[in-house]
Amino acid sequence: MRKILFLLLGAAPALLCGQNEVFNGDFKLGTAGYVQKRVIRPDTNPKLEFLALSVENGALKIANPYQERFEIHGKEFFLKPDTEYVFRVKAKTDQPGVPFNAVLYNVTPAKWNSTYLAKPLAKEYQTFETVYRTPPEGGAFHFKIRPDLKHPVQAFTIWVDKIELFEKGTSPDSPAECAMTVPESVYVKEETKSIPLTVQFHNPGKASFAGKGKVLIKEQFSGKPVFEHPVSMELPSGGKKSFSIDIPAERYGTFQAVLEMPGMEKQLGGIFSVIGKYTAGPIDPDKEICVGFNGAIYVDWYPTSPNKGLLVRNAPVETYPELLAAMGCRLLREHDAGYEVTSWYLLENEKDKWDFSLSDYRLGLYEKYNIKILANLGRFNPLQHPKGSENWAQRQWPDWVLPLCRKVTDFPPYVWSVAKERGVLQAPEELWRNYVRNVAEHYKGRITHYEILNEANGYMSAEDYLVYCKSAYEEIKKADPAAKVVGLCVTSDLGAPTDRFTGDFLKAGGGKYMDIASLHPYSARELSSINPADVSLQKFRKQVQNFPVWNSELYYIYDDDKPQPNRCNPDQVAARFLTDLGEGLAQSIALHEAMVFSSPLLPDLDKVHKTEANCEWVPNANFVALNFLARHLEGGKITGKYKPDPNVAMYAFRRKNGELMAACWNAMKREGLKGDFSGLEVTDVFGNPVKSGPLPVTAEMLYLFPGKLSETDFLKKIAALPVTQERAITVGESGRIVDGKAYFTLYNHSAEALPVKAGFHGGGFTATGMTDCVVPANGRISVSVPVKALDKDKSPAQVRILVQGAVVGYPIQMERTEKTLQLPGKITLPNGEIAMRMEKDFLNLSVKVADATDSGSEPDGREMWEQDCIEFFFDLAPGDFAERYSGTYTADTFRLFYQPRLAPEKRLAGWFKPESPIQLKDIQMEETNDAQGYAVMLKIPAKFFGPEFGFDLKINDAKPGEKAHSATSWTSNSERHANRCLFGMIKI
Amino acid sequence: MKRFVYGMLTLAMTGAFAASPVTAKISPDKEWKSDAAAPGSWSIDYPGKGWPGINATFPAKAGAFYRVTFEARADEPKQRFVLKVPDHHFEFEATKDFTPCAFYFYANADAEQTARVYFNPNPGPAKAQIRNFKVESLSEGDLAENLFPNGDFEADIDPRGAFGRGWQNPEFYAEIVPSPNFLYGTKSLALLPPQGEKATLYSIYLPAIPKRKIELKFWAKADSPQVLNSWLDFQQHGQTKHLYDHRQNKLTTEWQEFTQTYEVPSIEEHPTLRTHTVRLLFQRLNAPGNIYIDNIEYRILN
Repeated sequence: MRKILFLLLGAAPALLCGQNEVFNGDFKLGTAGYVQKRVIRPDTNPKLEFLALSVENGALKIANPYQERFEIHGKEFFLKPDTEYVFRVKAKTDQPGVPFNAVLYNVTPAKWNSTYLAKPLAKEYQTFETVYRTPPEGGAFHFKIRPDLKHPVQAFTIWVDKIELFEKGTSPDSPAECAMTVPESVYVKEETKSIPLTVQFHNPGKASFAGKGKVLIKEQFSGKPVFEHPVSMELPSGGKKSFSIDIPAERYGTFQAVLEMPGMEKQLGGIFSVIGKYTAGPIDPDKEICVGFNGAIYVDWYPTSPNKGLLVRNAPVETYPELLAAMGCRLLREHDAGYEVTSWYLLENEKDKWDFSLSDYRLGLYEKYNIKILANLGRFNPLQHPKGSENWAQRQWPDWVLPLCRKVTDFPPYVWSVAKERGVLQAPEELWRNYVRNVAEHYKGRITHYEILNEANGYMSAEDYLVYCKSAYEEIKKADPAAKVVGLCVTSDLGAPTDRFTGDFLKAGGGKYMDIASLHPYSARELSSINPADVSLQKFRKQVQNFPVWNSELYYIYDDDKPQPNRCNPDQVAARFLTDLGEGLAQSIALHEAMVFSSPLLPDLDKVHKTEANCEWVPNANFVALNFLARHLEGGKITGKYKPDPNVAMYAFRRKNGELMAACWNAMKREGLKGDFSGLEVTDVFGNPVKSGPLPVTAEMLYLFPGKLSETDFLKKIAALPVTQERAITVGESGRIVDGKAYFTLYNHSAEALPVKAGFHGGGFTATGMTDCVVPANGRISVSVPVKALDKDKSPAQVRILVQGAVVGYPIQMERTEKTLQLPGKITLPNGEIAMRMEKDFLNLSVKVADATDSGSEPDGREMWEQDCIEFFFDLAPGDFAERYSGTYTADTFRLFYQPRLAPEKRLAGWFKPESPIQLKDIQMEETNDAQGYAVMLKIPAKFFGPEFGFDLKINDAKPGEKAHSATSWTSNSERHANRCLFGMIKI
Repeated sequence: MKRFVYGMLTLAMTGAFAASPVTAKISPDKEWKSDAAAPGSWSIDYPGKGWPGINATFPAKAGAFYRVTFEARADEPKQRFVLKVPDHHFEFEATKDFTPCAFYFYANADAEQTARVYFNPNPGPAKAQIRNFKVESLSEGDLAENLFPNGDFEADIDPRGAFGRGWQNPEFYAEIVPSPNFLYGTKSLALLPPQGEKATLYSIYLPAIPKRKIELKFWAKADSPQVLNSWLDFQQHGQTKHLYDHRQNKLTTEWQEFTQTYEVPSIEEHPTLRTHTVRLLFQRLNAPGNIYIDNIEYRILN
């Protein structure tokens, strides 16, 4: 008998333990970590009941009896790059066949990455899953559950028992979790002693948990802890515990709970704000500034929803105006927030069939909460949406108006290029009048201010706008003589100029058809902007003469290389409001509502796509900053502007109650400033007291109150506030490295000349010596030091200065000049050559270009550089660098354009600043043309030049009637038109 | 139109000014073998005893200053290279990589002079090399330049080519380190905390002219506030009185420039000045942290 040896095989290898990435995936912490956006349908839900999420028998209950669209968003989590995950759900419904739909996704600036889990549900629980491989970059993901969008939404209830997301090949375990929640999102300090924070723990994992740590309450923007409470916790597997902590309501601001406890990384920290009590009194927006922003009680409809409804964010409809009222918001410009109250598409969706119901309801709510609306009539309606946006972009003109519109073909030069690309449709005047008339008659006495179109200078001529504005004005005044018309609404967004449109409008008599002028000062966001906010506002005010001016939109309120509209901070919010008020504007309605709300579950998505992340009305610190402004400066008037230091903004206001106050901040963002605020009462941007005395003057807002000082002494004190500078010497923002030398400019902000030793290091170079110089009092000096290249140096470029006993490193942006030429010399390009020399008293530039194709004797709508053209770029002071925006063209920078194909008198054009020492008339020109190309010699007086000058050259080639198809240039810098530091260098 | 204004530029000289080469007869002792592959280079298997050396003989002119340079290395750090000229000598510590060494001296007479490099025996055999043994004469113009070699330390040359340690210091308490935020450059000289009370570095002999001013400039800072002593030291063998100028430089944690100017007396007042040389001394005390020095410049002023 053969003995058979059985090999005992082990069971299949045990799966590795993985982690369930979903927070509260089994709902043992209630609904913590889940929020709901819903479109409440008045037609099926006439009471506008908001059905909050709940947990029933341990499952998340999503009730949808009213057949409404909704999205349930979970808390975000981070997934590894290029990894397979299993996304698993266990759910059931009371309506068999109802599809369960979940999207697991993340949003990057480039695209959306997603996978779907879709399954018809049954009355019994079923578990279903999908596998998803994350993209190469991984990142922050989350999921949303929503109805099937391809079919009408049914009435149903869904219960979700469990949601899991774990790495494929692992068995999901879950670490202990903690949810910290507060009952309300806003508390009024005067009415609140303490805020109850509920801390819930749950251990869904297989192992027990024990930990010690603390609950911290941190200020939202600064991250500073203001309160802490020790916590120790022991939980068996499956265990749950909770307790409450009372947080004293001692400070204004917005705060978040954070648990510091090893092993408790999976947590949800509640966010709450503490504001001051605001009591609404009568307000006249024509006479009194108030807090306002762009937003609305949001109506959602086509194309995102076939049924009209009110979009709510995890709370009933009325929560939104209630919160705004608590803030002290009195004015809402209905824009970029769904179909506005006066939306033509909403009100007259079918010709002559008016439906004011949803608008009446909303206006009633606004009135209940003392909020007036600035109704923008027409908004962006003429500007067509981009192709491919049909599924999500809000509709504009009613569908029945579209075929009757005029398609615009004659655009003025200042409109956006997208206007020409996307198309502009102008509604017939009589239909427009009818619409405006109906709105004004219906809302007589209730809507007091109408703004006509939004940013029309981006897509139509002033003459066309006048038609809309005049007709609207006439209809509004006929229906409601007391109502005011806000006209112009010009923008400098996307580079649109405002002055030409405004000038043309007023010249054509437009001033007769508006009561107020509005603007969107996108190109002048701050006092420190290259186009300073105050200068820009005063220029506009001068242009519109006696009209009151409103800033009705500015979503980007600070300068940044990559502006992210909703990530402004409270100090910036306050600075914008105060600048507008301080410069004599009647209203400041800069922000969008999304900028005053947080996304507690989706902070990473919030940075990338605010609209998608905006699921809750949870106020943020900007909200609290506006609350302070409402309480203190509603109805305030500017009494004076002061400059205790060139870098410091100081505005004084008289409040509605007659008292004086001031606002002070480091508007120019100079480092190292200190002010002596002794004798003044000082608060921060929220109104928290700050200990007076010497204080740093930074971008953080400081509010000043007289305390015991008389008004006269208060104003004297703030006007002459002692401000000292830690560092009197600063360095221009940019510099250049040319042929082994680093060039930069030093500034002295003190009243005495200062001896300085300057060196340079970083950015791949180091000086081989230092420079001794004396920087004049309140002046500047441009210097150079010899440098050598360093291998493998990755340190940031710095000018290093010894002054007043210390060596200080100043970061600097160094441009490496790739092209230099010693005169006499030549520059050779594939299709041309330029010879340069100094001869007698002139700089001679002789250019020969090989170009046998004539681009035509007329521009035909082309810019100069879009035709046969030589562009010359000159910088007479290449080693001189402004303290800020050093690359910006100065009075010493100019451009010449030689267009050989045009009529002789048009061939040479130039762009010079008015204060430039040289103008076109100073330049002599001689030309020769032949069949093979053309040649030109320019003679520029030598007296304008120093030992070297910045220079660049670009030769453009176009075919007849077409835009230039090729260009050659000396340097390879395509940004030379915007940055003079990128030019090459010519040495004489 | 704004003009470009150039500030006065101070260059940290590396000592590589245009001195004139002098034709010197180089004659090594028999123990030194020349390297056919590298002309001007000699090597030796030094047993640790004896004084085998290399001579550079040249006709010197009375009243002229000369600079002798060579590069040396040895694999035994205890060994010392001595450079001897009439009137004085200097002992260079051996380094394992070639280190440029420099030395100045003054000719009092028209005569043939010999500069000799040899071992000062210390225990331990060593494989050693010397190369590029040169003599240069200095003009009046050269003497007005910065005479301290590689005083910005950027060439990353071992400081033992220009400095020796105090006799009471068991170690050479200095090294080239990444520059702690000096005005420019990547390297500075760090004086490390001594084991004993103090640590001294003394430099090679530098030219000095009686009845003319000399000037030492340097930048220094420290990890903690402390004093750095500096001397202009005219000590010579056979002196009756030690001539020197001493400063106490108060260092902070910020870079400061220090200047020490001294009018050299006449030979009649101090006969040892006939050697026309001075050396620099830096001495730190036992205090916390490093002292950093950069941009050492030494000049003879008009």
